[in-house]
Amino acid sequence: MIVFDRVTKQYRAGEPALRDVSFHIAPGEFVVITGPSGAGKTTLLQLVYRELVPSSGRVVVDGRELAEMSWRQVPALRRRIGIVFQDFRLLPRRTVAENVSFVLRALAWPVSRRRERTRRVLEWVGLAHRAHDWPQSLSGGEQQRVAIARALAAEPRLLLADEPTGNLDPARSLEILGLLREIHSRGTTVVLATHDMTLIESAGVREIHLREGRIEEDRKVA
Amino acid sequence: MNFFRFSLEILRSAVVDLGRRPISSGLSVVALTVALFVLTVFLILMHGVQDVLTRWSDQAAIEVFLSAPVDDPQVVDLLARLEQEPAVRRVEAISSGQALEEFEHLFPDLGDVESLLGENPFSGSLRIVPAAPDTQEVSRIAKLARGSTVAEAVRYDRQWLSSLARLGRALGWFMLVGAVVLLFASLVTVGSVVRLALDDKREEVELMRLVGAPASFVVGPVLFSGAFLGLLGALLALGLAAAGRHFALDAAEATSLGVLAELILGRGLPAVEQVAIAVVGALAGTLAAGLAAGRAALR
Repeated sequence: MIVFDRVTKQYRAGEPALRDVSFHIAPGEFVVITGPSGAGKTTLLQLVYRELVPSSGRVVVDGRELAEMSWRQVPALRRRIGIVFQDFRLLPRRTVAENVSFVLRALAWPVSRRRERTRRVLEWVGLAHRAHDWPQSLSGGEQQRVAIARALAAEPRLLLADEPTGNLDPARSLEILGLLREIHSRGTTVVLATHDMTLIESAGVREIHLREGRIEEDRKVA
Repeated sequence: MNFFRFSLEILRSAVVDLGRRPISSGLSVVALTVALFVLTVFLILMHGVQDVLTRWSDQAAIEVFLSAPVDDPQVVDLLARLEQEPAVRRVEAISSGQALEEFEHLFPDLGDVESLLGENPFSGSLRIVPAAPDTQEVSRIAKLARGSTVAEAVRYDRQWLSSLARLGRALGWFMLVGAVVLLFASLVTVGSVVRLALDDKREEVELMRLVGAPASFVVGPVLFSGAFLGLLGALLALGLAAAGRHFALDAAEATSLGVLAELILGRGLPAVEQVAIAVVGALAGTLAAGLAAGRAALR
């Protein structure tokens, strides 16, 4: 599903964010990208949804090399990817349900299908009863669950989560991890970037550990 | 993706964007209305002034006072030459007797002028009616007549018409420049409103991009907002101009200016030009929105 072939990403100033990174993620895998701050985790995810293009090497997603993709083709790629951020990125002037259905509206889903899908994903993350509340009135964990619901709304085949537990306490972090594992169990490929090592120990998944832009370790967590 | 549903979503998004900023949206409509109102009034006045000039030009004639009778061979020759000129509609030969008759008809109280003065004081003349209100051509015809040895004097009331035409042209340019300046200012206003709206929904735009919304879904509402503001401004301008015209005609009807007002404002603006102004408004709004948004909406 995702292939990184000797990928280097160099920003204009400073050291490369990624150096000669190669790995392969198969469909249906649950992969956790770990490493300290500045290791290149976010850069790696941004390369997957083509927010960035590599300075050298190849990034292939679903058989398409992203550097060869024109900007007109990027939306089609992103429609197949759900993205969750550390800071949730919920729209404050829209209710919980509107935040979720907003994605489907942007993709021009019919109203009835939109309502049904929104209800279903909110039920799934356990927030159907908060559908008409404002995001500010929710706890951090609940806000992140809304963000996950939004990422899942358009039925993506791949879910990218960039430090989704970064703003949450340990209990809420485990709750979010549980939700991501459930999503994975339903067949979605999940790539989670985190610096929270305790989260990994409880995950039992594949870990790719980055340090200073290089892969230090690629292992299956027991 | 269903095109109709997609277009509806773009439309809905544009209306929501405009509704979020009612004051600035209203201000851009007002700015565009003022600019297009000036343009509309300018066009109405130009049409009116043009009509008046044409009518007055039609009535104006070149008078060639003759030193010889109208049946003199040289006069007959001059008349024939003038009649062959394409710039001349017709030439009338008026004998001294006809001129006296005309005078006595106009001023019957003065009695028998010929007996009073002992002779007919009027000379024969040629009255030349030009084919078109072309001051250069009229001048040429007058020069041609003046060149004849039987022409004692040539008089034509074209100079003040020419001055009026120049004045009309100057006024037209002044109003056109004013309308262009106002139109530019209103474009900047529309652009600012659109830019503000975009800044206001930067988070939404960012999210739209991340979830794979097509660029047209991001840019479409921006362009539609501009087109809507422009069209609304144009329609208001046309409505205001039409109302103003009726009001001016009604107000002038009972006064001495009634005829002049009817001459200048009576025709109004042709339907084609009204449609053109509406289209200009919509295009100007779209252009302003497009320029203001630029690549910001696409990045």
